[in-house]
Amino acid sequence: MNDVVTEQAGALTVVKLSGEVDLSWSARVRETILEALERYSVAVDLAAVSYIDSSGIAALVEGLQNARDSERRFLLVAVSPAVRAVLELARLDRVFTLVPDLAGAAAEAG
Amino acid sequence: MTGSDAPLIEVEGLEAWYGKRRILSGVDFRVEPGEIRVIMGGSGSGKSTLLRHILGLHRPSRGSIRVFGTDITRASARELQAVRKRLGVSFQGGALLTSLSVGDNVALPLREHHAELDENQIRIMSRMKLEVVNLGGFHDLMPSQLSGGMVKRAALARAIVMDPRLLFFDEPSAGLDPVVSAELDELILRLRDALRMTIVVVTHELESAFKIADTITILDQGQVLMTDTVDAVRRSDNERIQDLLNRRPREVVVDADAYLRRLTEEDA
Repeated sequence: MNDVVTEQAGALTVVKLSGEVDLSWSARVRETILEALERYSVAVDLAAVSYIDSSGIAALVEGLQNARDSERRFLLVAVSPAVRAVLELARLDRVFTLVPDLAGAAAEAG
Repeated sequence: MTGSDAPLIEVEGLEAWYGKRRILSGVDFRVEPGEIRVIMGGSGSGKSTLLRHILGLHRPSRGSIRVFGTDITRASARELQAVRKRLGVSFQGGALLTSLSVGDNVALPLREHHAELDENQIRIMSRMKLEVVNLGGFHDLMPSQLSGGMVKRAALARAIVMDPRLLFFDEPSAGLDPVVSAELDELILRLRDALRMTIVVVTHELESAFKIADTITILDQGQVLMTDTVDAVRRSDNERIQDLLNRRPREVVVDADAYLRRLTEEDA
């Protein structure tokens, strides 16, 4: 059930995560995000994430850092309550751009 | 490995001695996943001794101690290491390494146990935990430059840097001002909810215990007087428990013969 898949939506790569994102496979999440950012802006769909640990959050932070450096957009989409709780714990909900759905992400990414 | 619903800690019939003094006797102690358990008791009640046994720092004279399903009284060094990797411990006194910056102190467990992480990840993960304990931006300072309360919070950041399944917290609010201590209580609740930690807290502070605990274990003279919900503990008609809750000094029973022996006998 842990998985990361990418879909292209116009100028935006959607990285869809599901399951429990933890240290056992967050390296794969990180690679997928950083690879996608080499060519496009990225929206990470977190609707199906039931748990995320600090290594998973760190992968998202690296994505944001990387996107800023290359002037791309990096959006978190449909953040599940489990993910939101961890983001809020470190007040990162005020650092990332959170959008409710993919339509919102497309609009935000312009 | 145990299933996800199995107790994380299972202590049965634990007995511990320091020399001739029995510190714990017949202690049963069980903690379920997701629980916040507070251990209370007066000084010398055996709280710290129980904690040290659960952490595998002492071997018990009798009884079994299972943590994550592993009997740590019989575990090999390697099994013990695997258990410890999933534990976070924040001890009284903090114990930061004085020669390392605050950031490097917090990052230490990651560097030690997760060679696969690169420096960028380690930096983000450890600084994030400093943000969590309200020490954002303090990573470059040395421990000697921090106040007592800050050292305590930095030690907590280090204890949670690996997202432990099980966190032990010894006297979180001792010596802290009321605001910081209330913040720590709040943080303990959020760590359980957001990072799904199971947390065992040893504390003297009643107010804090009642605020954070799901269940409370009361130790008295090396024995478990009660393990129950906050409400049940408050309502208990056990005299010793009420003494503890109402801060009444205990009546010391004097056995004249035993007293005299303690004062006079060479090998007493």
